[in-house]
Amino acid sequence: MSGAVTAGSLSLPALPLAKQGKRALGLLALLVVAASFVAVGVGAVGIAPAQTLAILAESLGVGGISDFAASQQSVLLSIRLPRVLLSIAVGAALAISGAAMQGLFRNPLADPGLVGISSGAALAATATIVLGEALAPELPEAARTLLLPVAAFLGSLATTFLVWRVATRSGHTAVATMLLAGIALNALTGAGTGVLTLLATDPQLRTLTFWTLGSLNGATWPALWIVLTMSAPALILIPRLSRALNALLLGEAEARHLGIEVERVKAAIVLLTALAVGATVAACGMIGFVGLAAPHLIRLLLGADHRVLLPGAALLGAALLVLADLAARTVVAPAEVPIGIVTTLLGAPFFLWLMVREAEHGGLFR
Amino acid sequence: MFRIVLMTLFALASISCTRDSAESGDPTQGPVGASAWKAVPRQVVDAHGRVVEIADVSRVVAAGGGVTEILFALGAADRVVGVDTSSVYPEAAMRLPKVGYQRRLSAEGVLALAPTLVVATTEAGPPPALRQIAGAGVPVLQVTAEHTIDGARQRIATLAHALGLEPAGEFMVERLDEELVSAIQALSTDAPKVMFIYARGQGTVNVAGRNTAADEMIRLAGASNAITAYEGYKPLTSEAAVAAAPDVILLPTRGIQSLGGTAAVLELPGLALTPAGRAHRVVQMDDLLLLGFGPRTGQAVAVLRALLLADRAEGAAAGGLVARGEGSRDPSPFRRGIGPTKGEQP
Amino acid sequence: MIVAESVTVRARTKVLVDRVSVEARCGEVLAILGPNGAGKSTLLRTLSGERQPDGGRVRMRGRLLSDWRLRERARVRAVVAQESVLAFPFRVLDVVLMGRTPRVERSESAHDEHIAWLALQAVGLGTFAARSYPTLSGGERQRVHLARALAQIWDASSERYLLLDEPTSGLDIAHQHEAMALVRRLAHDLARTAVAVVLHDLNLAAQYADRILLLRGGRAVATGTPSAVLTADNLRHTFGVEAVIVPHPRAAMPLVVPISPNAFPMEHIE
Repeated sequence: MSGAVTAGSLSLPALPLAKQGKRALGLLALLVVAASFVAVGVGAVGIAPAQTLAILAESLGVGGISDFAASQQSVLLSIRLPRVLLSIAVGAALAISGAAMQGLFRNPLADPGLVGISSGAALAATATIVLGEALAPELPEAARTLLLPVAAFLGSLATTFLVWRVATRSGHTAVATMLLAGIALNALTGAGTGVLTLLATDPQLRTLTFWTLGSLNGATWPALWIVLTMSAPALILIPRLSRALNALLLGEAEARHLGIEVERVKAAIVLLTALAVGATVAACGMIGFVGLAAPHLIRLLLGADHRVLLPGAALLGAALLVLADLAARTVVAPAEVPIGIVTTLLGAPFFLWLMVREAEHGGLFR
Repeated sequence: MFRIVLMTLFALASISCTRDSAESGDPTQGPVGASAWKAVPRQVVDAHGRVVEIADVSRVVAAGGGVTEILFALGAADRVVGVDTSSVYPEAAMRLPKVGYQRRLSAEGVLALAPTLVVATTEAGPPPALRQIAGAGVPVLQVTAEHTIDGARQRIATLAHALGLEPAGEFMVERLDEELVSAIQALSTDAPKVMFIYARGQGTVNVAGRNTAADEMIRLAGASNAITAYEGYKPLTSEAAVAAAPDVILLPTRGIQSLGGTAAVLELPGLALTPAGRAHRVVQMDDLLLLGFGPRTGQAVAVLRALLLADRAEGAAAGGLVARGEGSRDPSPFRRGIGPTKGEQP
Repeated sequence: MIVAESVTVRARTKVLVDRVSVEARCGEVLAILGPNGAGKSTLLRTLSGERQPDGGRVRMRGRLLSDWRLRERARVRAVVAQESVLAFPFRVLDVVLMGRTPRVERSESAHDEHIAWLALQAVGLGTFAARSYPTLSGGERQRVHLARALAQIWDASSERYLLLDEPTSGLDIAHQHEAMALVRRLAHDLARTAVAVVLHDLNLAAQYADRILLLRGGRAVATGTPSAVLTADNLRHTFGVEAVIVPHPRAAMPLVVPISPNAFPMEHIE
């Protein structure tokens, strides 16, 4: 082909996508760090920035920066730090799952919450809480802590698979069908949860209410480890599929022509996102719209290329959730707003704006 | 859709009902005696059977309306630095900083009030938040949430012991028993069937079955619960209401307010067709007085009984009958001995 | 060379392609013609490996298509579908760079970007590199995908294959000819590339194809050079149109002039 085009006067246009992307990702990472630092330092208990630094430094073995009280140290290390880190993990997991699903479904409106995957996880977890004792009364304590995340994972896996099968016909995903399937699944799981609440005992109801409203309250180190372990595969492996996801945007056949093992990629994404979403739901209930808003903002700012989009969305999702949780626990301190309410208050108007915008561009149900 | 179910669930969960079997009748879990005025530190056994070490009771956060009421009645109002949103009695408690609803406590929010002790019932949560508070070095004492007279005795005794106010606690238990005895002595043999409705707006209307606080109160007041078919709370259905055929319908005051008044109660499905509906027998009583199983339980039984009988005698005018806990008796007969109480109502 | 041997494709009970044998040879443009529903696109999908034949075999470089690994296959064979949906805001150059997917391990090198840019220039979109794909017109998008396919096999060693399904449908007449000329040049240069292209325009096929496969109802009606295939009889038989075949005024190729079956005498128009 070299003969077909003369390559003489070649001057590549300045398209430093890679550099620009890297710089943007660096800024986003800084945003996460800054937001985390603020979130660790601010709360109902007053801790000055210097004290925050001193406490963090001392736990790393560097002492003497500033004086602080033991109570401040314990608040910071056993309440705020795991909570902020959990926000980061959950925000990143939800955002990268949202971005990956939007790529998989080839539509910017796919979101673990909207298509019913979170509620599938929630239903499975609810069933575990209510029926678990009856079904497996002799379970050791260690297995009990894992039961909920595993059930949530299976629930989200089942719903993802279901939505995907319902909405996809011969390689084409009908978005309207997908969203309608999501509505049906949300309704179904809502009804299922309703049935379970009738069966639940009072302490079970209490667990349910705490956890289904979505909250990072009571974040503990063990919860953090479970979420990290279950969403690490998604956070590490999904970015490695960014090239395949890019190709998938052209269509499944086109992706195959480009050498992508499409079925394997799809299966991997379904599995990884189900794992990550299941983990977040098990740890802190349903937190809506992060998986929708973060990838969208990145697309607006940096474009749709998954190589930038996936890490960018993960970082932005982490920062957004850290800030949302900061708001949740400070606006009515010493009480708290469930974070699900905060993200929905911010996310739902954004979603509507997005719909209007997409509808104006005629791109909503393509 | 899911959210709506959850809101319902949330409301349901906020109904005070415990189904744990009754524990032993031993009212105290620690040494009680004339010399028990001694100050802390001390060890108190909580409702989970765990020993809680209490070193300082100068700043207490109370979660749960019943717990708060007992603390105020013990004369410890000046030590309470924060309460939860269910602490609506006495009025002075409502002016204290709020740490959210007792089931959704925020560890840091509680710790921000720099408490030396957190007292709550076993209904309080979430458990990780309670563990975090304890982990920060603040003892968390959970007393039983049982809605029985025994439960009330245990709560009073445990809290009195925790605060070093055993004599006050003993006195309070004694008075509770006396009041109960007098209320129960007067039991009528002609027991009306009472249906208790827990309402939080038209969308959340539930009826109390067996093993609920309301069931226990109805029983103590010498009446019988119209619902015996199930335990706990279930949504009101017209056919079940007609089948239960209550003579009186009982609601907490806030429940009536949430429905929009007594007239609205009788418009609930099926109620107009019951004996109570036909005779316009709707009785209301202050939420915490009726269901709190606190120090005022004896009075509450007497009041409820009076209401049920008066209602029968007068045939209940359309407005229904009202009983409120406020001012019926000074909740703190011990203040002089223990120190000034904050803003107690006259 | 891609060789289809007596390929049959069925959808439920319907036979879409019926025992068709054809070769896409290197150094040649093979045009696949036929009326709507003749099985042109299905045949092309079978040649690309997207669709398994229900009967017969397809070989590429002598190896059964199903024996190739996807990635390996993608390095020597590019496909441009009838229409590609891409609703996301990618830059044009990035869309073309997607063509480099089978050759890139971690991230694209300057070499890949260079090739993508050359491919863009080849389709006449050199100045569009930084534009956002969704802002392009339908014809521009088709050319972007052609450039993507070119970039995909640009530096393939030895034989390479380009399969195009109606690549000119959205293009104006100038770009139609430009695209077909490019494709033909590609096939003829060094004789390393085999092009199979589904077309609707008989004269475009006559002008740029080396050989033509004429399909009707899934069956091969005729195969051969444009002059051999584009006869009045064949056109009547396959399309049901009357046509006059005249020599091209400038070149040694046939020119198809269809005559409407309801053709009016001239006086009706005047």
